[in-house]
Amino acid sequence: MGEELVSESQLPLEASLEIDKFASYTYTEQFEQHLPFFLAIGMTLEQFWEDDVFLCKYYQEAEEIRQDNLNQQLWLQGLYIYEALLDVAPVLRPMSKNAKPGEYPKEPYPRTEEEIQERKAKAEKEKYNKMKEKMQALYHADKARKEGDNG
Amino acid sequence: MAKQITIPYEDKEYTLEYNRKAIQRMERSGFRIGDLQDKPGTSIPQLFQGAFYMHHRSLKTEVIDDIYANLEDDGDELMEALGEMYQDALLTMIRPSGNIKWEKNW
Repeated sequence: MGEELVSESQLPLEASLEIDKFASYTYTEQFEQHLPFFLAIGMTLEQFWEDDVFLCKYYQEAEEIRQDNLNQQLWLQGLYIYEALLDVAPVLRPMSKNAKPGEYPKEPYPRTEEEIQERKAKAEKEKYNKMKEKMQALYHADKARKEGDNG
Repeated sequence: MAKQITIPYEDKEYTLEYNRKAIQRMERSGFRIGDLQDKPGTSIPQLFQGAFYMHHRSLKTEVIDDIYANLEDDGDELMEALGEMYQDALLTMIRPSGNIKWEKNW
């Protein structure tokens, strides 16, 4: 269920088609039969009939990439919605003692390994800066206390 | 990437290639790829002639016939290559789904 929602089912030319099946047809019949599919994935009539015949292959490969990307985007959107629902769930429960909604992520989820590392480094730097501020505050407080004792 | 064959002839270079329009035109004139084995006498010259349509649409039939008549080795290898190029027009529309690999030894 749902496995082929946006990918395979939209591509009509499966390899289960054997060349033998074409024996009784002309190539032209096959071209005309499958032309709508190629128009639907962005080819122009001129490209289909008059350009390099390998364009069809590249258009199909590009379409598969597009479908994979779409599938990935829909999955990610679902994840954002799922988490957003969990975040607002406390507000929706009337008897909840903790009726504060969770915070929506400040930025999108990291997409690449590089972004993950960048986020980690940023978080560590923020943690370090907070710690540094705390230490400086303690130092200044201690210094002020000592000066007060001496004065 | 497009498969092409070039033939130099009388100070000109001719590029042989099939697009789907050329194949449609050939089939409207009665050509059938399946006839290559059964009726080579008529279908092979048609196969050759059709390969000029994409890049040399207005070339006279006499010129094509002359080139055909003077091909080296009777053009056997060339016709085999043209047959393969012709079939590409259909095969490039089909997505292979199997994963069994094979290789040829020639």
